[in-house]
Amino acid sequence: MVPLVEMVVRAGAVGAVVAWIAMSAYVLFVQRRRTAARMVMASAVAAVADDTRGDAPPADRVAQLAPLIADASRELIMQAAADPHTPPRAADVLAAHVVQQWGLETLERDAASHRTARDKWRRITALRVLFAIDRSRDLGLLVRALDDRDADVAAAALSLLGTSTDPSAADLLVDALRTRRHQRSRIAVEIDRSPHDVAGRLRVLLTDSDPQVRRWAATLLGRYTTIPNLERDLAEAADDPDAAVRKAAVESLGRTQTPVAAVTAIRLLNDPIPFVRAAALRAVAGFDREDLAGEVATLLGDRDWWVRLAAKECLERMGPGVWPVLVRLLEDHDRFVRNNAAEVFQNLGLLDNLIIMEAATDDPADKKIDLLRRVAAAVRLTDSLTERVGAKIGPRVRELLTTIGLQHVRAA
Amino acid sequence: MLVLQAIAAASIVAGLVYLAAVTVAALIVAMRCGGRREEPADDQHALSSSRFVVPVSVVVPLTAAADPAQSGATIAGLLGLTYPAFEVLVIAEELPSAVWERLKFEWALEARELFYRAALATAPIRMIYRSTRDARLMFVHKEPGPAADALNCGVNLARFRYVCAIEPGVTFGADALLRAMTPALADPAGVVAAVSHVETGGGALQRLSSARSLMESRVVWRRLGTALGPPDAVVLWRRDALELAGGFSIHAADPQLEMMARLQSATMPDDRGRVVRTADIFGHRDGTRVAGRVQSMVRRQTALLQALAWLRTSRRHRRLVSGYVIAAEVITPCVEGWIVAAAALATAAGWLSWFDGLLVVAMLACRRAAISAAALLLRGALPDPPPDRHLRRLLALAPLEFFAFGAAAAYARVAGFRASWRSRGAALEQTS
Repeated sequence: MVPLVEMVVRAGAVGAVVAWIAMSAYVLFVQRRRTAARMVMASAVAAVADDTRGDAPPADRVAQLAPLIADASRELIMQAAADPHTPPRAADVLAAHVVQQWGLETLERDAASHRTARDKWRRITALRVLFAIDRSRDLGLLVRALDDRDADVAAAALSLLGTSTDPSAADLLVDALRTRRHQRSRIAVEIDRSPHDVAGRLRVLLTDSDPQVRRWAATLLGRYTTIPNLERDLAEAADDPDAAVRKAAVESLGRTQTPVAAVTAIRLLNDPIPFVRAAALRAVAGFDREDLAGEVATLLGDRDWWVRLAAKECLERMGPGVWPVLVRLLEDHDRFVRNNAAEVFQNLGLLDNLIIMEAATDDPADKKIDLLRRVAAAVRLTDSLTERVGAKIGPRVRELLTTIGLQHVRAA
Repeated sequence: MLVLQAIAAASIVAGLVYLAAVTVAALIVAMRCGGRREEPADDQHALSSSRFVVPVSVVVPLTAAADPAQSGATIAGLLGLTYPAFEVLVIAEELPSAVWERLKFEWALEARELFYRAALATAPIRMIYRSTRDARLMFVHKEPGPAADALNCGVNLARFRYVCAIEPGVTFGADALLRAMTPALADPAGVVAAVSHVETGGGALQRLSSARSLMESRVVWRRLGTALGPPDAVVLWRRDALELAGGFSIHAADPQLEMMARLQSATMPDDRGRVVRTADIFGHRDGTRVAGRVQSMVRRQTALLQALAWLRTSRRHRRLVSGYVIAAEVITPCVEGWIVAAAALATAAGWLSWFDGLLVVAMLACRRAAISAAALLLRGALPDPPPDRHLRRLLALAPLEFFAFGAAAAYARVAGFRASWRSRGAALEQTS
């Protein structure tokens, strides 16, 4: 045993020590390079930011910067120029330096394709730098990047298209929405922030054969609330056989605040799909129409929890004027309806007002006591109520609740 | 005697060769990653201001053990997040009345009855408070229960599609939730859980362990297509998946790790749901004392074995995940333990000199230190790397980790095996 094991152990021990020391030295070396690079770029950025000659020609600023970053690699300068945390003026000067030092062709070559992982990140950085220099530049490189199989490259292209001032960038994004290559929610984010008006193209997509495309078109049209007759197209989309399209249409209609929108939203309160009913309720909540409280209140007893929640929120947004509807619901045969109505009563402050007023009188009105009994009997509202009214009025409220047999009422 | 000697010699040599191969592979993969910084390709600013971002419910479990100042800082930090739509649900248990009074004053809490959907069974709620200072904040005073019970209570009250739990004491940047949600935003239909790291501060040895965990995420888990979370993590869960799975198990050693495994198991009606483990650092937390660390190691070991029991049910994940976890968490530590035991035996029997016996232990310590150094190389590429002075200290102390925590880790593994053996099947029974 001795010779073989001894040999392996000694060789292994030397190897392990060497591996640890070599790896540690390499880590320190890399860290030192990183720190030095960061310091160089930080001082360069600070120098540009401190430059008080706001009207100095760009060439002068680049010349002033050049000696400070003479030892920095192209990749490092490109990264600093593309970093969203770099102040815009410094980023511009750094990008101009890259172009002057290495030429626009080098950047375009970097941005055109990639093979390794390292190339990929350089490509993304090059694309960002190029489009920071000129937001209206030719989109050929972005088209190639958008078609790339790599999701990171495509994502970078999408975000650059969203900020491009070239009108064809918006067209590219709308086209991308129709293909299934990229995440549609991600494309929608970029279309939504694009500076270009694409309402015309989106309206056409409302009749696309792909329900996902129709859905996103209806969603994105919510941004264009002032376009004439848009509500008509959206109202038609609200009859779409696909539930997600109906939901998107009623959400966007809710933003237009038109009579057509209200009629459509009320109709969709009876949609067979719960999330469409919930979206219709949220749309109704934005119309500022107390007269719809009755229709909304019926959904407090919906078979789907999320619809009931949306109905509660909708009634709360309508304000205290809905109390007559709520009072009727306190006697509903459905426990869900009673409880939800009582909760809305509480959240609108009606319960607090009622009990505080009655607690202040020596002879509380029978009708009000009866109402109070019905509200508080629905759910265990009394514990939270006595705590909420505070130490000053609390004892009086508790006394009143005890008098009418409502203290510590538990869930119905 | 000669046979025994030959077996000991052969096993030591084979074990050392295995460990050398594992170490070289780990170092090569780490060097290939090269500590390169990978910025998100998405425009985070665009996402943070978009109306299409999926809202999140953040649950903060709060017990009497939590430091009130730290809890307050965590809640304030959450309300300062740049994420466009979220709510914060603080699930409080057994707080002293003085702490409650302070919280009520600090956050202007107002008792409100809320009629919520109890989709998961939990201990009863005593009172619900809404903050009049910030409408996104709600406190829930509930009766005491296990950690999983507070999480289930949070899931019941959550209004949004994604839910995550953040322990008090975790500090984070304003964009932490947006970064953590990136995988879910990229594929909301497929991602049922997205896991980010919480980096442990405190002692050097805990930082090394945290760095190795990050390396594992970057070089191993990212390629596996499925995941089990690191010891300290923030997980963003898709609420419908949690409800479908029946909520967090109160019998699990680590309810969140068990849930990750369960969501990827064959018991789920739709086993296409993905758990994504990222190399993103959500935030930081202070380290724990040695006793607490050993306890958490035992819990982790038990939880891993419980998770493996679930993953074995899925053909899709069985080979990859079980293979890696068994190699990393079972075979490698057992080989290390065996080498130390065999070397001690050989030394005691006079087959190996004391010097060579010590060399064996030193070799194992340096092996782990080399892997820790590789982990620090990758850690340096992420935001807020350790400063130079701290890095030198971490590298120098790395070999001591084996001596300081080797015995504790061995104890934790054995205790974890025993606990897992005893509680085997409890989680399965509970969910079935």
